[in-house]
Amino acid sequence: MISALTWYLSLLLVAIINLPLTFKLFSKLPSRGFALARPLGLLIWAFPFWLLASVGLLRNDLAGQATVLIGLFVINVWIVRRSFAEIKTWIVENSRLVVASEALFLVCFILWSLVRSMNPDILYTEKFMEMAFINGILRSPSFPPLDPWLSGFAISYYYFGYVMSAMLIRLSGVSAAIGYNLVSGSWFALTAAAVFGVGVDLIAVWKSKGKPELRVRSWMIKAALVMPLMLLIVSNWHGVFDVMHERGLFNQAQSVFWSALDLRELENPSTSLSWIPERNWQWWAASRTVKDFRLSGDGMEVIDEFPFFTYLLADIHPHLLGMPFVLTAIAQALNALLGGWEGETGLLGLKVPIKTSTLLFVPVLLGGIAFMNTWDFPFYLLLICIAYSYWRYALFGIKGRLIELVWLGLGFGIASVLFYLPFYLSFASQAGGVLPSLVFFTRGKYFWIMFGPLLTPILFFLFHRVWVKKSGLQLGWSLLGALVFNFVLFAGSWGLGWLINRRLNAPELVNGLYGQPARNVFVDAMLIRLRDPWTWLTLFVITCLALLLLTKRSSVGQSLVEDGKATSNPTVVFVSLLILLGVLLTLAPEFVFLRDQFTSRMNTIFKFYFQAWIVWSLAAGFGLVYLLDPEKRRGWLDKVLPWLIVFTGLLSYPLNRQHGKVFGDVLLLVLLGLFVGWLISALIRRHWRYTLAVLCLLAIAGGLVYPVIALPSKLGHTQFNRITLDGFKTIRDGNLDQAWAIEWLQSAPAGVMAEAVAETGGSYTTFNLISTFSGMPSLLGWIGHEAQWRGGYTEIGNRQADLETLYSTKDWIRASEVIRQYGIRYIYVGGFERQTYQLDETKFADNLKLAFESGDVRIYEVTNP
Amino acid sequence: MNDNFEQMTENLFLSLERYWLILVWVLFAVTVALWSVNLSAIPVSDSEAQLAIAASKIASREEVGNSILPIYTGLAGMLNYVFGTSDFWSRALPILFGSSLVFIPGLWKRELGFRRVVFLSLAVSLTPVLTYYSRTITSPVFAVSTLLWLATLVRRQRWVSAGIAFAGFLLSGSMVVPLILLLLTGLLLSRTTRNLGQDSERCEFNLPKNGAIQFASGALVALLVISSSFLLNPAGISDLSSALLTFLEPLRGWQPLEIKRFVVLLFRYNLIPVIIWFIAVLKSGFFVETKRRVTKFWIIIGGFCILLAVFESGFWLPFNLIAWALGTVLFSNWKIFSAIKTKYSFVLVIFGIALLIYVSMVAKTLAAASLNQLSVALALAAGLILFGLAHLFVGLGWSGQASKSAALISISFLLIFSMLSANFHLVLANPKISATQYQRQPVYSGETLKRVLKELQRMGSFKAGELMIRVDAQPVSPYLWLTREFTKLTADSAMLNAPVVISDVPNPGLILENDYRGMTLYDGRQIDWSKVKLGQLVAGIFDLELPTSTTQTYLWIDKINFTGN
Repeated sequence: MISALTWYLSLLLVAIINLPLTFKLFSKLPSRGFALARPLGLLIWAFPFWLLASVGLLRNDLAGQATVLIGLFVINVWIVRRSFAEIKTWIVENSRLVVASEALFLVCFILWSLVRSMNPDILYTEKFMEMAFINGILRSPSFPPLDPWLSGFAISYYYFGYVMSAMLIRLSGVSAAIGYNLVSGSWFALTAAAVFGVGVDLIAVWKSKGKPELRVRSWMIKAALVMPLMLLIVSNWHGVFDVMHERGLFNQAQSVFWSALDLRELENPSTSLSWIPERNWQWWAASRTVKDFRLSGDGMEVIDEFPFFTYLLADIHPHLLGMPFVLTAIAQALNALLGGWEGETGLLGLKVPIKTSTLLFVPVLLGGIAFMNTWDFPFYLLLICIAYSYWRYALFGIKGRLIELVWLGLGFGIASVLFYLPFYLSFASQAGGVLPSLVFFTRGKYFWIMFGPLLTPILFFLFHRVWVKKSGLQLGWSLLGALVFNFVLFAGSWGLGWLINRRLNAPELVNGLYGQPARNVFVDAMLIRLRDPWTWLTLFVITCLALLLLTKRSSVGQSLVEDGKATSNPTVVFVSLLILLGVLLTLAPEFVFLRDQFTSRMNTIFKFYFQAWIVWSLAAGFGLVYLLDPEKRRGWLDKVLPWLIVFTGLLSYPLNRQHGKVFGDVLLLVLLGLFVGWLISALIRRHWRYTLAVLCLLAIAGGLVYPVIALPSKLGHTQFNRITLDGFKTIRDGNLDQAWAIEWLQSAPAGVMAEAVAETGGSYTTFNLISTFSGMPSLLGWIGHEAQWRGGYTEIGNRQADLETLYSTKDWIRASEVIRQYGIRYIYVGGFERQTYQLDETKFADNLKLAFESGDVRIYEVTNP
Repeated sequence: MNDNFEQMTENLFLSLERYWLILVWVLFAVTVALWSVNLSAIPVSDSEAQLAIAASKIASREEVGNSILPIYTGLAGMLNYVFGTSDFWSRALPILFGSSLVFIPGLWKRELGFRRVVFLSLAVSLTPVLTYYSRTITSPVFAVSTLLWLATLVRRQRWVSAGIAFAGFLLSGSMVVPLILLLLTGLLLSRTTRNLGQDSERCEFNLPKNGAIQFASGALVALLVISSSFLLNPAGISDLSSALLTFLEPLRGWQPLEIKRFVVLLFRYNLIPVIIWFIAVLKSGFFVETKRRVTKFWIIIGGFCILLAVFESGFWLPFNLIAWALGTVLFSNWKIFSAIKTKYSFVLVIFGIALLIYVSMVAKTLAAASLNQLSVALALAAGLILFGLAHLFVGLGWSGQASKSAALISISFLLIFSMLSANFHLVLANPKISATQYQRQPVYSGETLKRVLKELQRMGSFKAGELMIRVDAQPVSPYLWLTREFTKLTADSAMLNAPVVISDVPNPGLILENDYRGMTLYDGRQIDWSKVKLGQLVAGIFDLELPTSTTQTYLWIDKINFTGN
């Protein structure tokens, strides 16, 4: 409780200190970026701290962090000196928004921290890896931080998000194991608040129709709550099929329906026939909806996480850590579209038509995103540049805009790299280029199951908007644009494949990837795609519709009506850009994928689809608000029915649990009946837009099934009197001696430590627990992961064998050679060491100092020669 | 007689004013010299040792951790780099900062008048509290001196220098934030008076734009240069936030109140300033509306300092300076010799001084002995009664005014003598006593340890700077510092078989007993105030040593270092 409070206060302090800067950097947004003060504050705090510590001008400790914070305080005081009245007026006039943002953050923080506290263990999947990073950063005197799983080397991963986590852990004074879970809770809240803020801006700008006087009204605030729902709670439709499968719908031997769907874990008939799936790790399957197939028909796993799953899993991976910041980038893009960058800066003799603060901030933001989750960077760079170029186009016409866009992209791109140069100098990427995805593509069914809750509002919004604004739209250009775009991707992919096959003499690469002789691949790949074109068709339609909406000039900087023609609403323009970005993110992997050690689309789909979810959830959320049009007065039926549906839906789970599947059947029928009734009532009243909204809600309701069934499945049998945020508690309770050893190491002087490594490498196990929680750099950790990060085994060398020698040999000379070679200071002897090696401890006892002992856990310290 | 004395004093001040610059430099030199005496006898606390070691490491370009007093490590690092590490250079900085305060009154001559300047300069150089803090490596002397220089330079509109002083203030450790809060609180409270200050009392402050830029530039450059120790320790820039962090650190765990320490320090070192402050309170009409906002401000600040001194002894330093400043305003016009109108009053003054000296000596004996010693108590009472009677009879017989003035002069001289005596003890007689009285943490003198190691060195067992010492005792730093002349500053506890081991357990690690010869060291003195009785408390006021506890450590020396077993 106290930990959560200090954590909350630390974030609040960072936000308050940087509020004036936030106001300055989001000057054209109706919300002034208020909801983004925390992520922006974190970024502005972390960047100079990391940079100065990387060049040795600051220490990586609390004093260094506090120094930067004090510096930021001084800068913000200087800013507020000039704009205090303006900020004060804004806060007074928008007090509802301020309160709503803060309340949303607090509620989400409490809720998700509570969820984590019911399942706090830092165990399984890749939590060890993240914990090791955080502790490694906390222990390192400077940057780049020492790799706790490969002594003598720096971390080779995008660790910026972990730097921020470590900084908050230090500032708040919580332990790292508690901080880990608070990161999960607070990032959930940061993301919710950030997307809410962007939502408010989109709605406010939409309704003001781009006029300068942008007022945020109460209904906009309420409507914007849809955004965090769409982004963080709504999930894919796998949950719907899961419950249907469990209930036994279409359940026959060799069911055509289920075999056609071919969803993971839903192939075999259900035995329980209840509404609630009870499989072990039931919640996992939704993240493996999409499947790839070789030409031979063999399936290949693809990861398709979405935010709710990611937070439920609670691995604080880079894509989770990057979420608030990509939303900040999206907000900055909107700000650019609205003219927030207007100004001029003299740079190397040139007059750049962008104000100085933005010119400095954007590379920090984009570079930070690259440093957190590298592959996000090009897409948000593109979005920001296009948004700014669109504003320029709206004001000055199309001439020269393309060159401008190219220069802007290059400029910001290079600056983003330069600002974070120390990272790139020490980073070895696992990615080894791009490969053509000839055979691998996403089947339509999987695509729709994955993105259905978002695609439905997006498509309905686009259709309606195009229908309403049909006069003056340029269908020809849109179609051409969509075709060219697809053709470029297709040609690129097939061309790359041909190149690899023919010119690079690497047909085995194609063979290896696809399991067929190369000459068949091109043709067969084309044929199977033609047999299942639904993903491509969906994206093609979306592209056309979005391009249609973009072919008009924005009303930014101009009157709404120009020469008698209506111009595009800036929000509609921006949402169209988001939609197109999502198309790019989902279409690109249909043709290419990133080359890594998996040699499949697994990671590419993972990274790209996740970002697509973010941008599309914003678009879908806006689409829903647009269709619902909350400003319009609704009849009592429209007010009552939604609440009735929500109420019924909420009751369905507990009632079903208590009273069995028949109750569930009845409730489902009631729910469906309510929906249908609602739909019919809208149709009868000829509220077409509203009808579409109701259909959207149905689609979204399908996306709410997963959270309802997954949360209890993941949390398991939580005992409410034992909830805790301490992720180390289970480990401590399981082996107290080991826990004390870790605590001893946490305060011992730094030095290389030897501990056991599993024969198979140790990934996803509890090997290397000691270095993970103490932060003491171990000779070797999870081998598989280290190889993945470093693109091979070169740095790992012979360490695994040398560790075996160190522990097993009876010859002290040989052991001391290993010690000397790696500069080992501590040798840990515990359960894993005894289990893994033929341990000879006598040599340690005879020649080294026993620095720690508790039960059968011992730590020997190496003396100086 | 009176007129002659008055004329003489007037002439004296006139000539002093002409040669003031020379005299203040002489005063500065004398103060520095006085405070530099017997530096090696001053015991060192853990925090002082850590700072001194850090400065030494900076000079050797080694990595150091956070500094709780960056102004010290920053400047001392450079001093050590240039002059080498020694007790003198490690303590030179606080001496210089403290003694620089003698210049400040002179820079306020226009506002104060020359007499007050003389009075204040002398008071500054003689006040025991400043003497103590100028000989220790702690925050108060740096914070207070830089703050006073800041105020002075701002008043003189020397913006760059003021910026430098401001930077120094910000880097002065744990006293910074409390002083800022103290000043703000005093400002707030003093503004509660309904009357505005008189013109002469107002502080006109006008910061021109150019001045602001110069100030900011000076501050920024100084902050970076000092914290990085002139770029010898670039990562020292992290210590810019040390003032805030060291202020917040104790909030994590409350320190116990030590009222007895407060009482001893009050009566032993701060009695005169407290009396002056009290008189200032009465004379300024504090309890009625006052038109003197500035005076009221300083009185409030002084009062807060006394309260805060219960928690942190360092607040005695600003209190002393405030009290002496108030004293100069109150007493500078006091014609000290106006009471001595006739020969009898002169005799009375001398008699009074002698009696009071006798009384103080008896009181000291009384404090050293048991309170049950009736005869000593009677002697004390007799002296006091005699003093009172003498002045009564003179007052009755000759002039009441003269006898009152004579009494005041006697008492004043006695207090001045006691102040000088306190300085003498602080500097020369027994610095250990004052160290244990002021410090919350144990202090280490290392006499026995140094004596033994010197003997070994003399016997040729090792050369200076080459001895390997393993320190296994906590805290490590004092032992490292005290033995640095014999060895390099390392404390690697993994050095199992070092020739000399200092440990806080009887049998440290793998050393076999028959290869080493050991002895017990009793150092790390600290007063356990909870166990001090009333009588002992009174003894402490009279500079008698209070019962201290010592930390027991063990010195193990490899027998090979001895000539013959």
